[in-house]
Amino acid sequence: MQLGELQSYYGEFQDAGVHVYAVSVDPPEHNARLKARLGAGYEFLSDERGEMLDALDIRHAHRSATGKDVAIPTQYLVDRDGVVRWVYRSASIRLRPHPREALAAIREFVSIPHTK
Amino acid sequence: MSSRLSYLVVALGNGPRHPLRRGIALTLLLGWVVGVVLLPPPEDPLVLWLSRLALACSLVACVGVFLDYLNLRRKYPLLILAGVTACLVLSGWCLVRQPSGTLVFRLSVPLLLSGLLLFYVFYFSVLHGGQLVSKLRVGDRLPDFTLPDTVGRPVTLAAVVAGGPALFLFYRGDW
Repeated sequence: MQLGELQSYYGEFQDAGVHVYAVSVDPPEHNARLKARLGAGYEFLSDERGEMLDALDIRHAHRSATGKDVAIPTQYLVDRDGVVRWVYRSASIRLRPHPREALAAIREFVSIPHTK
Repeated sequence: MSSRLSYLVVALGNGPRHPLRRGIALTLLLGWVVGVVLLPPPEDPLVLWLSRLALACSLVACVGVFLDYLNLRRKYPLLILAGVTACLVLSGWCLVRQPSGTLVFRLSVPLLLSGLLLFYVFYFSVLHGGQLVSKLRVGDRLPDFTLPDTVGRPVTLAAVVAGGPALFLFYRGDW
């Protein structure tokens, strides 16, 4: 599962000084249970109405097991100014990028001098 | 008897909801009825055992799929591909040694299963679609948001990035 894989790489994100947030349409109580079950060090955010999904154009209608709208697997690496430095948007709900890809992007991003 | 039992165990354990699992279950049941119950076994004992081995290989490949469903957090594409390859080679050898329609029916279970599994691996691989262009490009600012965390505390983009760079991972959810 994607989130368990993320947890096994979480130390490397911490070492790079990057905070990790997992976002989905699930309610906070659901996320709290999931976080405890995974022993996740990263935080979970709830976008129950999918407002963020619409703003980012990553809503995937009626695709969950219960027919709910869900997010297309997408990842954004943002800097201190909230500017996107790396993005991975899957073509399909089935494809999820491996944490190594985000880590590679972070290494590249860190080596770029911070400009403002 | 044990191989007949394994057909049923896998078929029943599939669960009805997932189309792939339904496909595998139907393939197994139909193939079992036609190939093993209705038709006589091949006369050549070597072909008989190698066809059983081909079935075993395709079942091993199935394990690669079902391990994933057991939530072991990993997929086993190599196990699937190795099982499928072994199954195809064995089936091909049997058919060359004893070409007969009966044998084709007997081998239909491992062959169909292998086909399904090959499709499965392809379907979930990057060969079948990759990335799409994101609406939000590199250099764009992430839209502001206020979303609750696991204890219902509101989190804003400004608060997050004040603490340093961040990775936002949108995942499917609603498992």
